[in-house]
Amino acid sequence: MSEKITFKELIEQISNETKQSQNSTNSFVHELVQIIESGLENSGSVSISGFGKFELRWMNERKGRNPQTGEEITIPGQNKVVFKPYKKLREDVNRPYASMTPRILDDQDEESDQEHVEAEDKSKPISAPALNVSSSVSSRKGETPKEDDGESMLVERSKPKSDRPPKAKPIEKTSPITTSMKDERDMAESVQKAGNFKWSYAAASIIAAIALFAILFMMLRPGPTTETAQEQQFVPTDQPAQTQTGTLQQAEPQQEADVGASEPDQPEFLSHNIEAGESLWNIAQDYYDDPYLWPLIYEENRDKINNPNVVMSGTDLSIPVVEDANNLTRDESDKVANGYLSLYEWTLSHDSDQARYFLWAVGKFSPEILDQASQQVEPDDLAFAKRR
Amino acid sequence: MFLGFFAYFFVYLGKKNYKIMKYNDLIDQLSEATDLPKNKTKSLVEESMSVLQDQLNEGKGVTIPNLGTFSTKVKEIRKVYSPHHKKHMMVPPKRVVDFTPASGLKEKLKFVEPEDE
Repeated sequence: MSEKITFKELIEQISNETKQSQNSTNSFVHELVQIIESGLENSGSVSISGFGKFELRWMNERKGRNPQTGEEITIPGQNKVVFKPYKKLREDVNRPYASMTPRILDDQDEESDQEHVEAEDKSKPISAPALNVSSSVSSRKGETPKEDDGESMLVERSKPKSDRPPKAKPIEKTSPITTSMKDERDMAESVQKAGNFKWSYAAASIIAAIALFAILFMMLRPGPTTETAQEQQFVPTDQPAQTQTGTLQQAEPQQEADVGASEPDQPEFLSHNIEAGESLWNIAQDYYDDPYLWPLIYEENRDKINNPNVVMSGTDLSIPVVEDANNLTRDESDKVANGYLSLYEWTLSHDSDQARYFLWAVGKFSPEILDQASQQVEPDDLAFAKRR
Repeated sequence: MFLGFFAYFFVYLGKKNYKIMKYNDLIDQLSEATDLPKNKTKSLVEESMSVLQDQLNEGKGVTIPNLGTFSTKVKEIRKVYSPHHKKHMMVPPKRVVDFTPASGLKEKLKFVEPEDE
């Protein structure tokens, strides 16, 4: 069992703590014991605050057996002195083991545990008397101070187990059991942790799944919306296209002159055959990395494209080469602005509400061209383009 | 009126049954026996108990003459059936305070009938 200190040592420590002489402390503790005893005698219960409670508990008459002769005897009813530690004392004493919590056994473990429990049951009758003997011996020896002085601070749980081996027989049985018990304990803790982890993993995976869905939705949503936007742009409006060509022809001479002027700077044109499902927007994205430059292509191929929003598959486009889409040269931006301008004019004749946005884009790419075109455009749209 | 009587009656009953020795009673009696002021007695008791508790916390036991032996013992891991969970559970090992009354005290109180029981 656990190590012990003598009453004398206890008195020494108390007198150190209270700065009283050992004599007075000794008599004080003896008085205290007297009071506890008389209190138990008179009321059956003595409580010491913050420590515990002494109680008399009446044990009813019961049948027992004389352990030596094995004959049956009746044990008369009698009082038993019990000490009930209060919560603080209980918790403090149990502190080394406080981190462990009960574990619910799985069905699989049951058999092994059964064996384990049986083993424990077997071990108890053997080890328990041994323990009692050793403890009573040590308690008797405890009165003499010599033994305890040497091994004062060694308060290890393994100590009582190491005390056991002197008995020859139990060694083989007890030592594997103790190790298995330790294993069991470790396993209990690890399984417990694993159980906790399972929950956290489950929660984490659920959260991750939700996040994934959210991201997918975010990814998917911009796609359809841009597509619909393009579809809106590509609304086929074929009937007015022919009527509009007349109006376009008026603007053509100027713009073609501009295009002609800039042509020497950009001699290279790539040819592109429109495939099904492609749009000017996509093509501009492919060639320039900037879909907003698609009016450049439109401007270059106006003779082949009736409706800028609808391009026919199989049409061969000539695509002007832009050196750096992020840093357009003056001429290039002018061309883009011209493309937007012709888009404005085209859109104005079909869907006048949307046209002003193209005019605004003209101003964005080249304010000069916007100024030049200021006579040809609607004053309201011009005001809108300049305000933006 | 009646309520007042009842209240008095209950207070009287309570006083009559007030046999369990509370901590204050212990201090009162102890200060009488030792001729020390009550607060002094109280602090002395508390300090001696804290010393005793420190010993127990370290897993050491101590025998107090005429009272008994305080020690700690470790309850081994064991298997129980929990009716709440309807499953078998492993209860972890636990260290508890063990008190063995001195044989003199035990014999003395064996057939004492406390007044309130």
